[in-house]
Amino acid sequence: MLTIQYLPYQQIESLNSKERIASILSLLKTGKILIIDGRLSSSDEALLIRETMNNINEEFNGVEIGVLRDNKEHGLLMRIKQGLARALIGDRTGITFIGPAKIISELRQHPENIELHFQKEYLLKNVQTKSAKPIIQKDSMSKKSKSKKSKIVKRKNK
Amino acid sequence: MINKLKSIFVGFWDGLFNDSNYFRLGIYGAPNSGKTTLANRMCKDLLNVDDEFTDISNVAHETRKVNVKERLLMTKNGKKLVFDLIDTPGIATRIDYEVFVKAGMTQKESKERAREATKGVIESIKWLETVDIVIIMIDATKNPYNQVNLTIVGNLEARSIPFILVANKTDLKSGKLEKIQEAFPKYKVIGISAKFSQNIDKLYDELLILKKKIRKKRR
Repeated sequence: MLTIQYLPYQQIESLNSKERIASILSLLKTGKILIIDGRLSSSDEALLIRETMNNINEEFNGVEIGVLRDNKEHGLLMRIKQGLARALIGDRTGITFIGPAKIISELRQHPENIELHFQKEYLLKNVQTKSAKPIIQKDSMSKKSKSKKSKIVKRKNK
Repeated sequence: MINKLKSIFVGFWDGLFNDSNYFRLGIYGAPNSGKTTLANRMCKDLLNVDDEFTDISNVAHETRKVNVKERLLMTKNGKKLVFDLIDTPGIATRIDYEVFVKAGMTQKESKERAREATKGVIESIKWLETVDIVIIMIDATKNPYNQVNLTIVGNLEARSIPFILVANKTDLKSGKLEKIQEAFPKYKVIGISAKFSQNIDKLYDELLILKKKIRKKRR
């Protein structure tokens, strides 16, 4: 099973940097993918990398992180509004995706979207359902292999 | 030999009487972006010797310790710079020993390399507090929207440390300078090939400009 957890930034905002990163890492170490409504400060990101490195072992090999930001150019009024908001509460606009590297093989960022590429081994082990198995076998079986298989069955019957 | 002695003497002189001319230049970036290749190239250009920091390889995390080359002297257009060159291990968010196993290392070697690599990343981040100017190396053959690049840029901006964005490997067909520039529209990106010493002069010119910025900051 794959768990994606939504985490509003306000929920971790009141914590100090160390506590904030520790709470994020503890969730990641349980195998959850986090979607944070907001983004970490650059110093928090650096701390996240440092703490991730401190926690690396055979079970936990790191994280993949990506942030979607509003890169569009806005008009003067909007920019003033955003500037004021930044001055008051800090620039936390954006959506952060963080997942354990054991699950996410690559988090490919683009200006407008983020692609999550999952580890094949993880998907095969945890996500494939029973009903999906025959479909995969059926699809992957070419006509040639099908006929070969039927020949084998016939020979066995003989 | 004479050049080396000269640089040591000038560095010593500057250290004693003209400290404003001296700074610490860090090279940062993701693993395998060509940081050590550039550091070696700069040593060759400025010390006129094949003095290598560490070995270079295609396997990630070849540099696992911060390496410092002290008091390099650069003279350009009648201007003189003296700096310590700091080559840092690549910053990554994941380190998997199995990658090294796949590259042909034994399990034991791979685990040891992974352990050293994690320490290297931590050390790199710590050194951010001591550098005056940073060269951010970006592999021009890869997607520039990598969180490591963005985190380095963000941290330097927050600390008001001047930096140069360098797109390396532009000699390769897949090396796209435009893509890197597009990802960082606020900054000037210099395309180079550290391996073949292409466009390194532009990088040195930019260093002269950035040096003025730290001088202003110090005053």
